[in-house]
Amino acid sequence: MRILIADDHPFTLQGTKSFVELYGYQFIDTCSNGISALNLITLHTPDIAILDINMPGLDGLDIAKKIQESKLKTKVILLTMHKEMTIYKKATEYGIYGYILKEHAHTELEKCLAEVGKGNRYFSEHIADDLIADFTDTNNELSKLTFSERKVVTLIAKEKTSRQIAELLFISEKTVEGHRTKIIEKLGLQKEKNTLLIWAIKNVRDQ
Amino acid sequence: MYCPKNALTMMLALLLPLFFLWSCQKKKETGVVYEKIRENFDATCLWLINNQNFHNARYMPVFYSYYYKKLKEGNYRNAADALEIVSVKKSSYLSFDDAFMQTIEHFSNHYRNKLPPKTTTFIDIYIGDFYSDTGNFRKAIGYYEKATTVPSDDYISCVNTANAFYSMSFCYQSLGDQTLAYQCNVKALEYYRKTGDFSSLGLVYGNFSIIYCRTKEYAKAEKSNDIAFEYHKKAKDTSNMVTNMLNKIDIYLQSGDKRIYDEIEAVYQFYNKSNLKDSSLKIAVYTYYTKKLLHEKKIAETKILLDGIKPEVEALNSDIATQDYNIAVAEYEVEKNNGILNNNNITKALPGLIANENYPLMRTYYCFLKENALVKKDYKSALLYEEAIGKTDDSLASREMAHKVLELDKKYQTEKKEQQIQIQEKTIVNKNTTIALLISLFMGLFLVVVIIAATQKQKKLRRERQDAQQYTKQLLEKTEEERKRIASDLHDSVSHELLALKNSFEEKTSITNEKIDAIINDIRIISRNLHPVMFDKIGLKASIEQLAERTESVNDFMVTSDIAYGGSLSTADELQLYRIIQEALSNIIKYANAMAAKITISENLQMVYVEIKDSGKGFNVNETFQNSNAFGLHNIIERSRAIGGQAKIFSDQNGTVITIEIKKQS
Repeated sequence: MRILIADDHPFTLQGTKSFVELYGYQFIDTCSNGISALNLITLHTPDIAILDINMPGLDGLDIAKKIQESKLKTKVILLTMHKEMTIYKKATEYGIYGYILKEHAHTELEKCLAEVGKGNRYFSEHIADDLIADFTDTNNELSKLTFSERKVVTLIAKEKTSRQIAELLFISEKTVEGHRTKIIEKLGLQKEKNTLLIWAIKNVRDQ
Repeated sequence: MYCPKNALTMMLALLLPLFFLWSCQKKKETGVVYEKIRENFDATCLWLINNQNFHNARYMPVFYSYYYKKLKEGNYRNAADALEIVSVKKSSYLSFDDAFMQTIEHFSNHYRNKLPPKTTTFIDIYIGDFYSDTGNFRKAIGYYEKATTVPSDDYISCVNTANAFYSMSFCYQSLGDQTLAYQCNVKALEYYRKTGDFSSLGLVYGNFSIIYCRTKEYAKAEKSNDIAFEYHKKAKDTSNMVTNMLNKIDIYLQSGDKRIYDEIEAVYQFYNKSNLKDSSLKIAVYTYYTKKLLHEKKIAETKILLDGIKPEVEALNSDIATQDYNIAVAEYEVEKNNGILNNNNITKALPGLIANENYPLMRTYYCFLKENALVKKDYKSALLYEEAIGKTDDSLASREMAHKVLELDKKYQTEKKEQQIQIQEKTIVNKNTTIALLISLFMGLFLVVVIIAATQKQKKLRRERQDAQQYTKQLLEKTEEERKRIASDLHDSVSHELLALKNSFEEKTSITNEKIDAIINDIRIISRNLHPVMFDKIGLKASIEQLAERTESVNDFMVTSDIAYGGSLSTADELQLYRIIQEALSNIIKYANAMAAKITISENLQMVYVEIKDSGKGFNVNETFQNSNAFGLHNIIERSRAIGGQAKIFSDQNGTVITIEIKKQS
């Protein structure tokens, strides 16, 4: 299995290379900028390319895009400091196989390489951290709900009608109704009249 | 003071023949100017005043003895009174003699300065009258002028001055200077007006009529005559009314007016109805009436009328009246006999005609006489008449020529005057046009200058504003660049160094690892706050959505977004837009106490529309802008302007809406 590693930071490059060698991969190629990385990929079409995102010339995302466009068989793993959901989403659009954060490389790279080697995709579990706020200290029942659903419940507790809620939250009445159904489902409430209202008053108001 | 009661009347009587010589046949007007007898006259003076005593043989001796007695007594006042009375009488009766003249001059030389000038103007007037009577008009005018220089401030002096002017007017007429005659008459009118005496005013207007007649301005002459008539009518002066009517006939006769026969009829009726017993007037009226009768071919009636007044003509024994009568008789004879004539009457009429310069009638008569002579085979007389006819023809022609020249001259003068007026008017119009043009030109120039200045100023302002905007934009962009650089330095270098540090530890302890991870995370957050991560790569839509999600999760309020935007703005502008939205959201978090917010971006071909609204408590926009700490709002507005957009902020208790309209750069 041939692997290419591209990173503009020599220390990181060296570290990654030693990790990969440590995991028993033999044919390893390295470079420190995006342009030579793309050249090497088009030239040798390695099985796996471990790319940093921020590089001079072309960045990792650009290279992933080019590979996808050229329909090369090289599978891209992005190894980066970026823990941004937006970047992750962008990267997945380019059909990458792996996304790992550098600070967790020592724990996740081996697993990732193994999975990608098998043709599977591996994405760091730490990326999700970026979005999830800490609600663990609040009501257990409420933490089951999404942010929007929690907002709706709060307003229901204030005895707002669906229309009022819709106006306050700048969403459609239909969406509010959808949220209601979802909430009742998630909370496992009895299907009776005003069941959600009663629950909300009881559980949300005294917060 | 006594005043010349009949002076004018008598003077006119004397001068009338002169008038006739100028073919402007004016009948005399009896001018009673006014009568104001001083009460303190003594018996002698009163005797002297009485008209009946004037023809008394003792009149002058009485005067002289009284006069010298008073002079000897040193009573100059009484002497002057007597002198004035007699001088006026002498003027009135045109009885001028050198002896009295010497007396007047002697008094003037020796005693005049002993009396106030106002009371001695009679001296100048008498001397004027004296010279006027002898035909020395220039000298007469000199004395009259002297009389007018004395200031007139009461009734009597007014009348004296007016009389002097009136006499001067007459002298100028006699000298043929109608312009000066007219001017003097105007002066006379002015002073008579002060007296308010209708008879005098009538006389003055009568004089105007004569002057106009001389200058052949018949319409004006008629008008003045009518005015004179009205004044005499007011003064109930019937004889002068008749005189005016006769003068009117004369004007008609000269101007060839057809109304002459109506006027003759009128004066004839008027005279017969009046109680006047004035032979001279009667003869004048009747002789005119024969003219009318002859015109109507009433020959028999003419004969009766002429025979009727014959005794009166003979009784009056006046040259003028007799001449008029003879002419009338001659006219009658001519009309009556179409063949042989009674030469006697015609030859009797001829002197009158010659005096009047009535050439047409003279010519007719000479023709008759010539034919008569031929019939009588008196060839010598015929030849003489023939010669006379020739002379008459010459005179007629020369007079007509003179008339024509006068007329043409008048016409020329009128036209000249009109032309001058036209030229003047033209000049005025031209001047006005030039002024108007200049004014409008100046105004136009002024306007142009103002407009140019205004446009320049506006241009300058616009340029300054553009410069300011450009500067703001560059400043903002530079700031962003700086932030981006710092963010990437932190993120790339520092984070990597920390990573390297973390990996370099031989002995890996979870505490240090966690600590380093936390630092890396902190740096990540700092860097993200400094600049949205990989904004140019990610794009506005995703970055905004990310911002919305993060805001929701961090601040516990709902942010929805509806972004339909294809990336038509530059990345720098998009970044500013991101900053605006970030600012708006941060304001909402800080102040609005809102449940939710919504970000909408839409676009059409020309514009990009951005709307950030919240369901918060709202605020007073104007008030907040006046506060110094409205930095957030100014930030939004300034950034919008920098990217060529316009931000508007509406707020009420239901929430706040910020809209930004950005024009796409084409």
